[in-house]
Amino acid sequence: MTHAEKPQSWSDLPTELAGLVLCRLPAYSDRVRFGAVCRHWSFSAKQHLPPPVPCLAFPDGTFFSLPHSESFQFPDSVGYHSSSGEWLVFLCDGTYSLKNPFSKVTLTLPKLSCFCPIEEPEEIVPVTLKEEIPQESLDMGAEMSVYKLVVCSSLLAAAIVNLGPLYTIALCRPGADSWLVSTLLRRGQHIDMMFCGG
Amino acid sequence: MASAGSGDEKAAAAAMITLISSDNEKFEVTEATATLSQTIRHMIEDGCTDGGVPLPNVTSKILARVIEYCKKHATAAAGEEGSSSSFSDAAFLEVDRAFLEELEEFDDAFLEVDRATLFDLILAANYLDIKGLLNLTCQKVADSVKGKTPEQIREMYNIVNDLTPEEEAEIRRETQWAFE
Repeated sequence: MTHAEKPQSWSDLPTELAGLVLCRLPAYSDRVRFGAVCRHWSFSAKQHLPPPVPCLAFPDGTFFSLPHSESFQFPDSVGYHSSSGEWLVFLCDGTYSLKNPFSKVTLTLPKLSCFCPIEEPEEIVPVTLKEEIPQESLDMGAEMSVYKLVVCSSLLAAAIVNLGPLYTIALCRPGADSWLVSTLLRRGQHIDMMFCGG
Repeated sequence: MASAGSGDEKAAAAAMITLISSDNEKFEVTEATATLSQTIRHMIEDGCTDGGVPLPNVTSKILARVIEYCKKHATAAAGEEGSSSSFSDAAFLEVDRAFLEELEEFDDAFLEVDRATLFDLILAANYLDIKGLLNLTCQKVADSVKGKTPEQIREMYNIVNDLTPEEEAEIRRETQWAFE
């Protein structure tokens, strides 16, 4: 077998080898342009790859694609509340929504005032924390705001929700009618959550 | 290193491997050079190298280049191993640095090839499973497309845009930001 008579084209670069090249393109913008070269490269760019270096998003809609600081304009991202992965979180009239500035997909989250309280099983409360658990209970009229939102997938979002000096954990499915809010209220200032694996 | 035709013929033959390119050209290489390729290493381990190793996916032109790479890197690896036991730490570091610099220069010069050869080298490095060469060649491609538009990449790599106007419009719509 010889390829001497039929010179191969770079567009025939096997997908896994194109993947090796893409892995060496840390900037998202370079990967996007690689995927716009031809049909096969477009297919290659859609495979699962290590994530690119995150973009730096400024509130005025300017994004810097690292590592070589190419700048891009995303007028739709002006005034975002926070971010989680590729999603920007917006707060408008008490409603949180998620927007992916790259794909322009927008997901709306239920209003925080619409929630179902969920009891957490006794076993999950660490013994050492038990005495610190305040006696206040979650009432349906509680004023809540999102402290941090983590988008696990387009089907699940998790949030740390503030209720005055207390906080709790809430979950929802984008597009659903209500949140599931834990009735286990906690006190604390240095709290955080992140999405791992999945 | 053993060389073919000197001393005990059987011992020399054991240390040498014959690689046969797709156009039937034979290349005699040392085992140390050949085993930079995991594919060939496995063949040697399985005792399948008698009568030569046919490489039907690699032309003589490309195989000669691949062997050139493996010879250099096998020598460097052997040199490093030797130096670690016979030099003091400082001297070892000095020798190590010199080795690395020389290798880097070799790699840079090695990659001064036309696009068609680079493509064949990537395929050969993948087929022969030579990690260092695959890293080197893929990095070369990645570096060459950084910051370039799809049009510039197509021109550089002589690629025909086979996306339909609809597909291209869709890509553009989703990724317009990257083209402004």
